[in-house]
Amino acid sequence: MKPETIQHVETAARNRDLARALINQGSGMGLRTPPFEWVAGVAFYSAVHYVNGLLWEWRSIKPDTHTERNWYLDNHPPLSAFKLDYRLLNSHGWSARYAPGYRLLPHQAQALVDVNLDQIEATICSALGISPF
Amino acid sequence: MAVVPRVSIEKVGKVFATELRAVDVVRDAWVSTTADGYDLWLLVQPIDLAAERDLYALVDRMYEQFPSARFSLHVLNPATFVNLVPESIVPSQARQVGLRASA
Repeated sequence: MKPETIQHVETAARNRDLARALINQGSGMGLRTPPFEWVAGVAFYSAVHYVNGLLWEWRSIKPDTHTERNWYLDNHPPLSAFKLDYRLLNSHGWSARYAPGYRLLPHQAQALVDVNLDQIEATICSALGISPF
Repeated sequence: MAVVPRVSIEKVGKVFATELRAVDVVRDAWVSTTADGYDLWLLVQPIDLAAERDLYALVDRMYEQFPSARFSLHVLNPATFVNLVPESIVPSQARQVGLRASA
């Protein structure tokens, strides 16, 4: 793999691990309510790095905007295989950053990582011929 | 990625309303413009995330009608809010989609 691709995959895995840490340790952070909504934001940026990694590895493309990345995702297999998962994470990541009152229950945060992000990770890693870091 | 031509927001809203006819969990919907496309806002009944995920296929149906436009769908799901107030999230310039008129 190209060095930049490895960096993207490593960063994606780091964000995934941070999302899981928020789920597993969020209740012990001393906040009135655990920050499970930020799992959505971190998980989305894990997905962004996975997509960027594959686009760079296969086509030397670095999307400048979310819109540009979405376009590749919507129109190019194998990325399009997980477009619903990516759109879900994108929307929830947006809500975590901007929508007042947005909160996630633990099982919802868990699903975003273990179902939706996992689908993206599995597809990208398979396409790159690697196991998840 | 090529620069894409604009489609009228009225036309986008009309097609979005038509697509929403088959979605029984919809309570309200809006369309707003961005620098490079359209944001679609969908207020739904409380649903689980698996059902919410399926709603994002609506974007593909919009692309079937407007292949050169760019869309982002925001599902406002009360199951993921402590107190969901759409007016505090949906842009003030957004246009409400006439769900009843299209039914």
